[in-house]
Amino acid sequence: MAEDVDLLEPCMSTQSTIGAALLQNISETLTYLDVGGCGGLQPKLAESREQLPDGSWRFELRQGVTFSDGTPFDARDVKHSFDRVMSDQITCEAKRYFGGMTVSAGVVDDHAIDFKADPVQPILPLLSLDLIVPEGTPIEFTRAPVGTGPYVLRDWTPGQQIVLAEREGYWGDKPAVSETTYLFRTDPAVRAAMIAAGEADIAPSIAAPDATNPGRLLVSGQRGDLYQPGSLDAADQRPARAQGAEHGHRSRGVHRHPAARRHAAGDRAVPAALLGLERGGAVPEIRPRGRQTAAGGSRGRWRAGRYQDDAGGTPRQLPQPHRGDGGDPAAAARGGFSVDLQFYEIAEFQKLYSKPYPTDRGPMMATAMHDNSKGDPSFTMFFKYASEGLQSGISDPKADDLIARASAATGEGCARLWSELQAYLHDDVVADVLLFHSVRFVRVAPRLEWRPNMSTTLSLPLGGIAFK
Amino acid sequence: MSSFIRKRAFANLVSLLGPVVMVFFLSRLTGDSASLFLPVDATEQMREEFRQLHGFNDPLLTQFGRHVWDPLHLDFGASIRRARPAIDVVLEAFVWTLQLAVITMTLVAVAVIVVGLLAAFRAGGLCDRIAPLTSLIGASGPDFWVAIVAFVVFSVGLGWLTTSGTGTVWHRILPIAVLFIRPFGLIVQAVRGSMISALSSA
Repeated sequence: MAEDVDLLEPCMSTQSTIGAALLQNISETLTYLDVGGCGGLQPKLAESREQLPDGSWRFELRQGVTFSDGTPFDARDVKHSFDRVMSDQITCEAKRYFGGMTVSAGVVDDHAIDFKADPVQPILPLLSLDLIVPEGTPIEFTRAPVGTGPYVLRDWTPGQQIVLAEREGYWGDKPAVSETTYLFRTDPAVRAAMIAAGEADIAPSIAAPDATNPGRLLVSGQRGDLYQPGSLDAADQRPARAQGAEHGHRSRGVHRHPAARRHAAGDRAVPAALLGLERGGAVPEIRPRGRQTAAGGSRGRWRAGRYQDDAGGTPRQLPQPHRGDGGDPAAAARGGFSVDLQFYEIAEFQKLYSKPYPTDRGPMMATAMHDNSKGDPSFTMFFKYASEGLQSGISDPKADDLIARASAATGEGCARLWSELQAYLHDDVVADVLLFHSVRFVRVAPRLEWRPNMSTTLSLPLGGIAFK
Repeated sequence: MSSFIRKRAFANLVSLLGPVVMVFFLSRLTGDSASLFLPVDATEQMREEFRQLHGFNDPLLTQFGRHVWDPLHLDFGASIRRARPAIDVVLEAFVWTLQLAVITMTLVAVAVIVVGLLAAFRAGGLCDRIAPLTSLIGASGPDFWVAIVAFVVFSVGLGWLTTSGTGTVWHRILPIAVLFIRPFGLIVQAVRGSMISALSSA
């Protein structure tokens, strides 16, 4: 692992290092998301679910399941786990997905529980994040997790290692891996070398230059995307389409291909959407954006022509909050823009980049990276493109409708609706300019029968690993 | 003597208080603690609860009072991120750092005295040739680069030593060897110079 684990707290398992140790290993969820396919939610501790007439969801729980401390699992554990996440006495990161709604859990009987959202909205994917802890777990953060999963925490030496061991009495299939040691090495070269030296079996996040052995290396799909939302003016009261048109003009002026080409050989690839390659990210309906690719003649990533037309031929000041790989001011100047490149600390950047947007500034482009490691479009698309999304720069009824319908759909309809939404956002709304996908490399020892996927950055279910 | 002690005590108090004051105010200049700590997509309600829970809503002077008063009672607080006493987190890392530093500096002290003395006694001898060479290497070879090359050669290439970790004496050889080079190179030259001047003045 690239980082030491701070906690082994189930409600913080959205942090990648914590999730890698806990998720589906020590602790389990009611359902889990079929990353890589459009199979939707699969049963885990909940055997089935149904939507009730009032919009709430009823889960029928698996019977005969016990926690690693021997206590039986029932609906009160589920309620306690959920209430713990929502408590104001600890800061659980999973809580952030429940913004703008009140969700309550009601125990029906020992093996059934209802979840009700007010206002009614698709909460099903969100509930798959909640790791179940026993009812007796105190509200404060724990460092000794107890769960229903196939493994127990055998040893934790902070800063050095975590050892998980298979436990007796697990309700599911017996895993092939009986014991796992997590070691923490911050240097990617060291992690890669540990596989070569036979000291470890899986090394996540190694650097592209270390990806020298295609036989042993697997690309874990896309991890993050750099994108540049257009003007995020909260004060802009024009109709959404007009705002979209301005976004279109502006972003057509941005070259993405020189940057993408520059990076494509390393750990980046040209994106079609803000989602992963594995889940609806490769969208055939999206047309190549000719004006972006054909804006030859300038090596820069900015061209002012279209933007100047839109703004009456007067180059405007374009302050740009800059995080990571931002624009090139010299290239922008060659293109006729007057760019004021600004650097921000993360907390300051958040004020400009998340709602409520400041109203006392002009047009602005932000360069940001988005990580959709959970692999579910519901998280990303609502957050970035819905009218109510915390970091959305658009308000478009059609996009809102597509997001709502795609979030609720499963199977074929799910893939089709997400594709339609992505094509619409890319071709018509031009909500942002996708610059590149980051590709994460994982080195895997030859003795393992295992392939990483996009969620490998967030979780590492040991039950899915086998030996050759 | 007592005025000397008073002066030194005052000087030390200033150098202790300086960082305490600076850490408090500088860490608040970099922005809202809730925004820095919580994920970027945290809701405003979560941020507010976080501020309330950890006392960031109190007046700045109250917070500063706690920041100064608590350590005076040997209460170093809890690490919010790790949910355990902050002092434990620091001491845990400190023990390893201290071990490496003590072992390395002991070895360096012995080696520089032996090599430095021999170099001074026998000008032009083997040790006298080694001393300037190691000085040059020690002064110009950055630790992090030497460390990477050493581990590529000895751990990955030859497979003699482990790439990382702790536990056995084999785990300590590479880090100590790398840490040894720089201070040895710098100090051996000083010992040799001092010894030559001491011998010539005798």
